[in-house]
Amino acid sequence: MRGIDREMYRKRLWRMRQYAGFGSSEETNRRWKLLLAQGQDGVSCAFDLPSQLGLDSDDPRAGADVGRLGVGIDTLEDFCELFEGISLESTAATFNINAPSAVILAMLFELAERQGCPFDKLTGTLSNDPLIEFAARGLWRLPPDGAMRLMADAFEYATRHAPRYYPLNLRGTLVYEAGGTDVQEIAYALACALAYLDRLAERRLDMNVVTARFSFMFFADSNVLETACKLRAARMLWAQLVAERYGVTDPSGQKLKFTAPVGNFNLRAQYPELNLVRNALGALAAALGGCQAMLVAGMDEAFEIPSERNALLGLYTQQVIAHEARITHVVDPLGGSYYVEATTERLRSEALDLLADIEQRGGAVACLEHGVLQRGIADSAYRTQMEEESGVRLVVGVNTPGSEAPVDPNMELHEHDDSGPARRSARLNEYKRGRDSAALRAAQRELADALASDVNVLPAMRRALRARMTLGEIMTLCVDRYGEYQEIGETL
Amino acid sequence: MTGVLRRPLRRRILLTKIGLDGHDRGVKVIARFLRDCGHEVIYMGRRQAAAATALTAVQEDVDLVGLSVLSGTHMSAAKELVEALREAGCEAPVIIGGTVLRKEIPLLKALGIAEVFPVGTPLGAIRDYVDGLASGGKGGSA
Repeated sequence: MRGIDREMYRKRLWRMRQYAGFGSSEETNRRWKLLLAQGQDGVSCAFDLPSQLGLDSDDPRAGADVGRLGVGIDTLEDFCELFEGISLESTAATFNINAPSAVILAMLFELAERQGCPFDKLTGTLSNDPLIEFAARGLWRLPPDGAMRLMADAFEYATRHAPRYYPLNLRGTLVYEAGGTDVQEIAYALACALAYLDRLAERRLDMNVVTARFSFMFFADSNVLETACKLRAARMLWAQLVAERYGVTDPSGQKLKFTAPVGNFNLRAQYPELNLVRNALGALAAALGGCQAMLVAGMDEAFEIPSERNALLGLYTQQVIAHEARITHVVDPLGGSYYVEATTERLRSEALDLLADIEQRGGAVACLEHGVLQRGIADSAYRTQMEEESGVRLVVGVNTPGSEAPVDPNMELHEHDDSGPARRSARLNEYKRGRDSAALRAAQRELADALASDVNVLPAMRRALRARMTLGEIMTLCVDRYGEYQEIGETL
Repeated sequence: MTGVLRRPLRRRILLTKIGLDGHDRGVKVIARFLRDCGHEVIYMGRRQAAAATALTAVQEDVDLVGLSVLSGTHMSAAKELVEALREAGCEAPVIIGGTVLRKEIPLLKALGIAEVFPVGTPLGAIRDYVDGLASGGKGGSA
């Protein structure tokens, strides 16, 4: 509960990895190099929406979303260019992507081979959490069954070949960002974790190893005390659940490791400079809560993806907490406070109750298919908004004295390059023209066969990438096998 | 006397998300809020095509269409939607909510968008806009 090791930040600070990516691989590579030069120890890739859905940039559904909220990756070549001049051996690589995670993992292995990086030196995290998309963010592609198959194949392949890599990161934060409460964030993330663990247990994997490779992402809000308590409660619950349900005895499996994103919906359009204050509080909360890594959003979050300056300020915010707040020499400094211990216990107990409720209804997948989790989140989001509208919940600059209507911020915002999509299209066509059609057909057949059977699809995906199959083409074969998820009904 | 006792008409409102953006916290809150205000709201969900939205707007004979976009692609989504609606014969006003900059509002209005409610707009502003829609709307008595 107090932290996952005895010394925590006395030995080593949390990892600072700003979420970054936009436009082309080249532009993203430049932003990454800038952040790495400023003290980051790894990269955290932001993919554009088409890539997150496993759609190529020339897919009719991609449209104007190409290169917008992140980098567009269609091919292995695009992926390799992201890491031009960046060594996988010395740089942790985190990929924030769920639906086509398996393909991205395959790309990572291909790149590692090209760079001559031994697989056991690979570090970083792959989100690979398809269930949370059904609950909170909507970037699904395959239905739950197919999505879980790919998740498990990717997880198993990574644990076997890249033992230091984290091939699953439960994105509780998306629940919170969508409006869920602290309790819902923990309970829904753990419910999805149990669904994944059950699936992996079916493969007779060593659960001590499996649980040790799980990681989480929990939001760090400005409410410092409650956030820290939430994180402490999550650690307690994880340790208890994995020991009780899967017989995990290895301490590294019982330890909940997590990244804390700071700043999202809570960063407002009014007085954006106040968002620096909110981020400082969130970063403090995350550190007091014992996070293993942190990402901080730009103060311009309500308007655009971060400008270069605002991305750096986010990183520097972490560094202020790390170097100037004088809290890193104590493990769990809030521990022992009556309020903190009581609140931790309350959150733990409420999350456990909610988790039991989900299980009684058939578990995470059943609840998602019936919209239970979605409605739970929507209820909380509505309640929060009504509190804000009525002034019960005060937000400075929004509903306090001196508040104004939002105006365009007086700062340089990131500018989107509109010529991007056309250039990508040309590039993609060029890439496809260079393909060997016989090799391509063989790779397609092999992948289709792998998908239709029980074998791990990663080797076939890697061969497909070498034959120049695109991300979209590979995902299309997955859709052929498992279908495309359709959301039915309304879950307000 | 009549002004004081007049109750707002019940409107039929269609809300939609066009493009790949999945963030629906805002649009869902607005849908529920407008229902609580007494209006009929149909929320189509994520990843809707402009053409499908237009078809639904006509079939449901709506008074207002609302588009939610938080991915920055609001310009192209707005253009597509307005064109699709007009082509389908729907004359209902179209409003947008999302990460729109103030300086983009005149550009969106030039594309045929009636009003824009950027991130940070209080719900009351949207309610007032709906209440202020010209009479002759469908939906019968309050």
